[in-house]
Amino acid sequence: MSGGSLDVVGTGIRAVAQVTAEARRRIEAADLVLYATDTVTARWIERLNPRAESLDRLYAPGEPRRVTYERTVARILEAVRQGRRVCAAYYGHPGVFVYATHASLRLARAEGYPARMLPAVSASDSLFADLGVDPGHRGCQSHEATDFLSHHTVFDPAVPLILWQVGIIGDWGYGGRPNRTGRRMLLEKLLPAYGPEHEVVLYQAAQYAACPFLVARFPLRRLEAVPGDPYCTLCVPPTGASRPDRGVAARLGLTLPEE
Amino acid sequence: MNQRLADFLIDLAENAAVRAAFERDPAGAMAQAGLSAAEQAAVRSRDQRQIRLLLSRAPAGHLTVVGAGIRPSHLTPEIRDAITGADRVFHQLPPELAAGIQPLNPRIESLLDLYASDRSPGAVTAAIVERLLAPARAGDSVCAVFHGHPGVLCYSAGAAIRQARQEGLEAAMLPGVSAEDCLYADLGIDPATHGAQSYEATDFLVHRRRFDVRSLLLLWQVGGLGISGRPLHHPDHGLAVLAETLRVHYPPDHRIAAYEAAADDVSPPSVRWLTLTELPGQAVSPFTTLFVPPLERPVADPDVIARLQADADAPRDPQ
Repeated sequence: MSGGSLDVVGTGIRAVAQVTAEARRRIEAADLVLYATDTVTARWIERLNPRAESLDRLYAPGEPRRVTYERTVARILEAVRQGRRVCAAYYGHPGVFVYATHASLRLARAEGYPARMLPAVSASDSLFADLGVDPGHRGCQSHEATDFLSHHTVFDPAVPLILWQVGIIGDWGYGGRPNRTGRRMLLEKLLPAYGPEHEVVLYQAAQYAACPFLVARFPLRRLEAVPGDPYCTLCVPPTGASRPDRGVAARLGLTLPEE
Repeated sequence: MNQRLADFLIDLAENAAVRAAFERDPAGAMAQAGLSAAEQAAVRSRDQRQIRLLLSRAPAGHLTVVGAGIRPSHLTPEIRDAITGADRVFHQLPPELAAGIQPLNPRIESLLDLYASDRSPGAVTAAIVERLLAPARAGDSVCAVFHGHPGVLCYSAGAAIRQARQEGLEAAMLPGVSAEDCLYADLGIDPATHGAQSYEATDFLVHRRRFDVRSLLLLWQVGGLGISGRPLHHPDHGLAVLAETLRVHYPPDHRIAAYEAAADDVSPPSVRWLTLTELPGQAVSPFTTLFVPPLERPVADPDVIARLQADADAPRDPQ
């Protein structure tokens, strides 16, 4: 057996339908596939390559995320050091909202193993497609909901704002009851910028073939009714028009309409 | 006339096998015949007025806008199926990606001829929308294939979808792997760690977008900043104006990366690390993205955490 290697791939959001050709080839060719995906994709991976092992068994309920993550990195590296061509396959984009993949790649590279991450369709990509938000139009701000609160993140209300994991804001254990204080504090932070009647969108991407994506629109003041669902994302559409900087525009050679 | 629906009703009248299949499984038989959701609903309702109305019109076509990714091997099964199953396919792709989809459908046409040099961007968009919607209006299923993700920095894709829906045509967008996805994979960055802010560079400067220096900042199309052809060291060169703005928020030695994803499956990405001071005078391409790492690590406010934790720890309401 020649030296080990690590390929980290994503399987996209819509199970099986969004696996890129290059990710599929890595999954097929690996000596060992270590996967953390939804159940449908897991079954698909095992049919494609029987040398596959779920990373879910390294997860114990109630344990700090950090512990699971260290154990995952250790398992991936152990297999690479055994000289195997390892493919780590993750739900969505393997580098977004995933702690273990970046650390595994850094470690594998430091130890001299070829290691690479391949991009995939992410949850943001699904949202951009389904809600018609183009980050090239007015930009895009994207934050984890609890971080957005606890970091006092600065934001621009004239730019779309996306808050991930809004359903489990203030809930580190996953699956507790909705945290009312978190919802109230988020409302307090957003209200001065948008006003109570500003329409916000609660979004959930389609995960299975034949299922549509889900969208609920409601005024900001009803934010406290957001369900305790980890897959829900809040999209706050921009409000108001920003005043362009005429000085900068002139230096860049742009002509702006008269005020 | 809606030939598809008429043909199905002819089959029901004269073909016993089709009739038996329809009685056993109406939805399956109608799907087999390629009837649209609206046509299937009309047949199932057994409302003859509704059926007559649908028969009198050409069947509605639909538009699917898809992303081919950045490299040929980014093609996903759902995009492949959308291209294969369409009556007409239009694309706006660089040669490597165009070659990759060519075998999937015999009716593939390029949109690139619409980019005549004397056309304004608005006129180009209008021409693209018109070319995509004309066959859809006539009942064809149209697939439009764009570079990367069709909903990111692609005005004409969104405009075509909005116009299609306004005319009552079904329209959907399927995501593709974007340049942003490649950047996170190639630079080893998780945008969730500190949050991400993403702007088209000109929009960022002209509209003075507010942002948080503790989150990462991505600036797209820095090559399109300013008056084209201006000398690299001109004080009003786009990159000079950008560096000036960023200098208000970041120290001069803050390290940023000029990034460009690989366009094929064998080349590495182009990553150039430089300081803010070095930004003016850099040569950048139309595909260069500027990655500005967070200035400092955001610290969670212990008071906020305590308030959230208190709620999480509070006894549950009796159900």
